[in-house]
Amino acid sequence: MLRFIFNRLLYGCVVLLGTVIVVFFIFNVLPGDPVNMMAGQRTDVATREAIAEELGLNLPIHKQLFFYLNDLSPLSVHANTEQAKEKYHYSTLFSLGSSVLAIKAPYLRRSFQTNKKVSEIISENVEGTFWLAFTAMLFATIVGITLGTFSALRQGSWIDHTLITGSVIGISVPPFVLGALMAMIFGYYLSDYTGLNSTGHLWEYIGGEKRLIIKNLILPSITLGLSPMAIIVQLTRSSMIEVLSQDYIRTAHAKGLKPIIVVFKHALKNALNPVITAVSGWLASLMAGAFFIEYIFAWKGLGSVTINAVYNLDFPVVMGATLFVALVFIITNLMVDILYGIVDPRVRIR
Amino acid sequence: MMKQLLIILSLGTILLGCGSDNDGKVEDNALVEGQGGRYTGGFFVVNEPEYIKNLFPHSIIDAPSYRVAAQVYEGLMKFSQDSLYLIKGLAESYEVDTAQTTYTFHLKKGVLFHDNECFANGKGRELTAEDVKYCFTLLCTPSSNNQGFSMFQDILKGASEYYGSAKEGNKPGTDIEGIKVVDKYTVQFNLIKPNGMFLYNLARPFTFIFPKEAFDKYGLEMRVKAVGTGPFVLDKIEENLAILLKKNPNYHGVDEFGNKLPYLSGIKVRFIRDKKSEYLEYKKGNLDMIYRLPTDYMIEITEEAVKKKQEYGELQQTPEMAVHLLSFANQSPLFKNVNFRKAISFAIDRKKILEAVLNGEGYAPGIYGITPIDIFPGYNAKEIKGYGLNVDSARYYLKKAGFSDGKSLPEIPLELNSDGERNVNVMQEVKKQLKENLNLDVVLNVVTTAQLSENMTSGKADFFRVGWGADYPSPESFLWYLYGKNVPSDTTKSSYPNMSRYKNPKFDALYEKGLAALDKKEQYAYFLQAEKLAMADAPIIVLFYDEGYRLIQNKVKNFPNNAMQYRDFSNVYFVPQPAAKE
Repeated sequence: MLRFIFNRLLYGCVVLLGTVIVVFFIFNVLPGDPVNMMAGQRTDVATREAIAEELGLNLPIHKQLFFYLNDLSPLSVHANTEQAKEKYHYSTLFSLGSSVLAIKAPYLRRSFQTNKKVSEIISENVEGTFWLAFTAMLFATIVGITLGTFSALRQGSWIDHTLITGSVIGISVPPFVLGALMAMIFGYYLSDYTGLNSTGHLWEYIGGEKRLIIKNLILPSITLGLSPMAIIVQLTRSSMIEVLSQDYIRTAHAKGLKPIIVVFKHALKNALNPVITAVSGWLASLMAGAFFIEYIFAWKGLGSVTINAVYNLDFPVVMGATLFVALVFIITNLMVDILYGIVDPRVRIR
Repeated sequence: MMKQLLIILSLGTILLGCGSDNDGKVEDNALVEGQGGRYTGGFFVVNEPEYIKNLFPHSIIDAPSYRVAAQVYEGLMKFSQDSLYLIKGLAESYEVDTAQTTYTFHLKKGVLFHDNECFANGKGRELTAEDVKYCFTLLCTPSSNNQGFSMFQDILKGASEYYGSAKEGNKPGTDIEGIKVVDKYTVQFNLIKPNGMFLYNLARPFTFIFPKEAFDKYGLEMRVKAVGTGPFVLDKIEENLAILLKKNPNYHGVDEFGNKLPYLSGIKVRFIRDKKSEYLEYKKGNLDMIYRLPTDYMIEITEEAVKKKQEYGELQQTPEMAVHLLSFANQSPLFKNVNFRKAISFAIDRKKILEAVLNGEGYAPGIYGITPIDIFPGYNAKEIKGYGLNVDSARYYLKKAGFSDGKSLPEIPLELNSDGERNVNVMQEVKKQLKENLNLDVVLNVVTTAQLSENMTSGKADFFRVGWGADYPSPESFLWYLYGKNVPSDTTKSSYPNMSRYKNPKFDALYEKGLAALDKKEQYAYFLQAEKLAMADAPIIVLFYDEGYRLIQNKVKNFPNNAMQYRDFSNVYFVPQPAAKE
């Protein structure tokens, strides 16, 4: 088991390295000059050159990549100066003349646009996106599995047909249409009854005070969760139908078990396998894909920060956010592999 | 498994359950009546669709940052909120000598910086002439965070020399020749030659005054830490969500009735990016003002604004200091030909574009010069002869250019960024008209903003769309786009701001004369002459002049609209409103 985890972690590192290299090159073939996006109308040529030099944008591409990897790597070579030490917070392993071999936490650099540390940008924004994705997933899973099971048990009835049709619509409507509709209907026209806001974050300043407003989570997470929910309904339904036709279900019924126990303990547990696979993949992709929802509901999260950074050619932020999402993918996949073994003993972990 | 699910589920319910008795609105502090019918108190809630980049004065290059920083910092001069005239800021008075090269500023006494940790006892100290010298010297020091050296470059005596010798972190042995501290409250500037823009420059964000203590303590973090003398203090920043400014209790401003300024208890800047969401929030009363209204709702807004003004607030319109252009690369083989440029200029029906494509969302068709009309009093931009639709002239010039009709010409690529669908729709119409009137084939290349700006400056695009906005209220802000002295003769080298690469020594001479003019009237005369000269060469196609719309709640007073969306909240106040109908 430990060896399995170790192998997966190593594999994860290779994936991360691959991500860095791919994103780096994609970014470098993108047309446009980051300095242009940073300079003002009246910025003189000397300052533009100073900016390019400070960011290392005047170096050849292979050097830029090398320096970025060096900044990222926990084991790295840095100049032996006070400034470098303050920048990277490294601990010296041993000295190599004017430079040192050091260990440090990965340094994600500073945003081109705002000069803020990318690590801070990510840690500040990930909370909002995480809660949004998490509650959306929670909503999608609970409602989706319930409706899917229900639909499978009433297979062929009008309820079943309605649910299936409804879920097809749920899958097909793009999130920005859905988001705008939800915000307008429940956050504006019906806001006197629902008490919900059309925009707002988890934390809001009221007067001068910071307050937690959890109801702001409701509309965005339902909007974000609707399409995965529709898929879960379909998955659960088909998987349930298959399991319900198995011999052991008939045996369970024959034993005289209550129908509810047969359905929930014997059938559902086995039917959930494909659903878990799907759900686990989505948590990470929802975190990456909540952009439109964040945009419409003025929610503070990683999605909007990343898209904005791509638009402004803010390389460190794009890179940092991409790496972070890749990391979330790797970790969730690892957890899912472990979870499989618990839910379904037929899956053996080597 | 089921158990865990249950636990998560119940946790979720608890989480969703609490906090629901909050209605999310900002409660107005009770308004207190002062002298002259003015009320103090209340939080002004305003939205910016884009997040601020940097609040450090020398790094302010975007409008949202400018609008926030302008409440926190002050310069020696500032603009009036109503018509953008230059008025005194931190200066009590100033004198200019007859040669117009020596400016002596007397600072207001008793102006205090905001209370801040950067000061020894946390209390803001008094602003003196030394602070002005410190900030302006820093502005003449090269750094990647200093984007404003052009304020003094080749204007202030010794500024360029200082900039040159301060490269790579050197500390020059001498001070800047042109800045002299006369006494604690008097500072003097010596210019190389008269410059009509100098006072304007002292009103712009780059020349805001901040204390040395703050820069020493915060350095780069000044992007989100601001210590100024302005009417509001930067209280809290929640990045991408909100910025809270609260009243500066020590502000030096007093109104004509003797009330202490500012009236408002604070300002909350929100960052809702979606224009429709922003509009809905305004209608719910959660925002006190919105500007640039969502195009899809334009008709609804104009109708409702007339019908139910009482609950809806006021719809205000003003010509904006922005112009939409098509720019030629004037040195490219095809567009070098002035007759060809004129042919295209005459073949576009700007009025039709404004009315049919933009539904009137714009101030006027661009049939004059590059400077928008009706904005600068005394600058009669309508005198400038531009280009309107005239198919006969268009065909005449096309023939004169050596092309009997469009057939012998290759396809002409036109580069643009999409900005919703607005730009694309306009350019589709341009394309259609050029085909109909001149039989010219134009292909639209829609690219990202980043790519467009790269292609325009580097000379990779020959024909492209530009939206040009003024960064301060003067025609110079527009004429600057055509100034040719800094344009490299090598067309592969980057050229900015003159991306049209238009070069006309006569224009350049008039522009420079305008800059050096001794009074505004003389200056405007030179600028007008220069602009007429340039437009005769058709280096650009002016499509239309922009218009700024805003909606403002009825309770807001003393907050006139202006052409630059420049905002000074120091005089804004709320009046109590009759309770809304139940």
